[in-house]
Amino acid sequence: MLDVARIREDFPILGRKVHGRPLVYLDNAATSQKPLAVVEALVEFYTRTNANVHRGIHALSEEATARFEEARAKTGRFIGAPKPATVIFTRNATEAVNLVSHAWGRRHVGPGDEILLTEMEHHSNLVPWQMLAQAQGATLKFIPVTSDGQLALEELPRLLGGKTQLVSLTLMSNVLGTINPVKEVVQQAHSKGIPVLVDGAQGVPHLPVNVLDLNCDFLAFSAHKMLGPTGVGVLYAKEAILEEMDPFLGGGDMIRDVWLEKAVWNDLPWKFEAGTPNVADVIAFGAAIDYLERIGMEEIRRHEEALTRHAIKLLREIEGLTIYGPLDPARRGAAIAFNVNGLHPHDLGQILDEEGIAIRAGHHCCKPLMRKLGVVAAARASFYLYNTEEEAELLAQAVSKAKGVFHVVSHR
Amino acid sequence: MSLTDDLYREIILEHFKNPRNHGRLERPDLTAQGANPFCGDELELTLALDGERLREIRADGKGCSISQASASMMTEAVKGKTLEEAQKLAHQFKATMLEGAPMNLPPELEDLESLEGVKKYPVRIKCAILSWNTLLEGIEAHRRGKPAASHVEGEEGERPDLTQQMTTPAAEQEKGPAAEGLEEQVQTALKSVIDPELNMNVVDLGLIYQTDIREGRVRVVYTLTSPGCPLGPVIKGQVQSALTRIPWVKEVQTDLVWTPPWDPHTMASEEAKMELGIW
Repeated sequence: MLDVARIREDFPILGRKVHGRPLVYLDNAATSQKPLAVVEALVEFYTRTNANVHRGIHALSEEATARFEEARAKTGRFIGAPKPATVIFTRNATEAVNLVSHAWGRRHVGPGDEILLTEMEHHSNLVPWQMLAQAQGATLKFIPVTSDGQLALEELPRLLGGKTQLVSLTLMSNVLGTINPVKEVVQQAHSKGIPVLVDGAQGVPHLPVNVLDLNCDFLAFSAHKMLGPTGVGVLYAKEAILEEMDPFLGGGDMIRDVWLEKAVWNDLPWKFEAGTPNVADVIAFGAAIDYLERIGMEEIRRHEEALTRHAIKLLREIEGLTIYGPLDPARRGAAIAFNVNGLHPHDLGQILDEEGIAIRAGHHCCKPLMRKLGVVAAARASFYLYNTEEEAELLAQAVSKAKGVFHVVSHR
Repeated sequence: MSLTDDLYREIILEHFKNPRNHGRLERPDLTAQGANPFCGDELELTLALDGERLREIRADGKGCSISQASASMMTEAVKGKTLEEAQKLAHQFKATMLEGAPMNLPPELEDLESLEGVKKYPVRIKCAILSWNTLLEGIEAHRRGKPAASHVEGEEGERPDLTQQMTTPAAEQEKGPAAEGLEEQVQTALKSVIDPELNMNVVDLGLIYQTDIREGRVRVVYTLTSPGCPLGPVIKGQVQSALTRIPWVKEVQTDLVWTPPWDPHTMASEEAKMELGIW
């Protein structure tokens, strides 16, 4: 059992009030809050260590470089990567996907080729592939989503054709909460020699993830959804793939030698990190990983599973409320999207905000999926390690209250 | 009254539940589609015209209570009006929402006033004006001889407008406050000129009667503590050199005057009077 009360003390923001009510932060799928350890790491870096990395022979630069690379090693260990060199820092998960679509995609995807996605992808794992397909004359295919929000895996053998160059799918849906059977998808794809990119933006913050166990070829995720600062994303890829990939952006730090006409690329992972990286935030992300590891990802997953079970139970008791995605907490994460009959999510979000409850309302950057669900928008409550059962109860109460506000007229 | 009560007035909810002029006209003279991609709100207006008069209007669509209620109220407000009147009303409504203009409406349109609370919620203003913008687009299309229009509400929703011209401090200096900046520089320079007898700067002593600045030329009208002051030439030289050290100053003209005669009681600064022992 997590000592949630103790954990909450590490997050000063959770003690603040919103509209006079204690904050109930249920928008973790958008971004998580940050523990003091992360904030202090930032302050500490800027007050004691600040210097550019990978250059300069002075003490500060050496210290900054050591701590930056230490954060890379921590990140690699956290996802079970075999070497720190297979961990590339980007701005966010979106940039990590774009790095692959450019640096890998332009070389391996040609006219008539296919890229296989799913119908539940976030725009960040859809639009880069649309752009690549358009540029290269390739086609996108999609694994369908069933009515209960799961991948129609029986379609996979048919969809993995001779032209498929890549499968790219999310580990956990940001709307449905669905945890996808990525391992099985990887096995089937690899049996046909097709590499797989896993969008871990939602999955990595909430589930124990091991890239060697998943055996995925690429994994993209973001620091800010897992207690870290904004502005740091991660791309993991298998070493052999990174070696033969072209660089993404050109500039300083990514070269070994430069002449006026040409340059020789630097070693991994710096080949993909042009320009001064986000040194302070990467180091603070290291502090976030330390924090998550101290609590334990297995523990966090158990806590969220229990919380999801409780929240779903409470929400289902509300008449006219529809939850999207699987209802079994074992098959889903703690992001719960729902709608209430006759209540637009924006109206709902506004009334909840009045109660100090922060949720997301909108299309969640998943317009094709929303269309498939037949809704223009949905409300989404998403939990994390510091959320409590009481907060799930406050959410359910506030939703009922919002219904009350809107029933004023219908009962007349 | 809580924020939510303010936003969700009963009258808004009533329009949301029972939208007026709901649906589509079979054979419209004019169709206008509206969408707000940020919310996913969608709206379709169908209009029947009698010349310049809006005979019938219907609104159909999906969206939040604010956008739907606003559309319902809009149809009520503009039905039977001329296109010009409808446009005027739309601009008036938008001005209230976007610029905080007061909503002075005839009694039959008082339902619209219930939407005034929306302007406190910047994210929701676009919900309230979607139907009005769609109507305006439709009318403009009609004037161009087209039977259909579509309007997309800016997806920026809650984002600040970054397209406005930026005003930099430098740009500001070139405009209005420019003269003030120069005047200040002259005063600062003059304050470095010390009357050696009283050991105090000429500005605080009140010896500077006037300064004029024009195109790099500075004219200083000044006096001395007494007509027989032997240090007159020294002070004049100091004024000239202090001012010519200002980079933009090309020419300095010094005019010594004796009227009005210097009177520390009325001319010196409070600080100077304290120093001189006059109070």
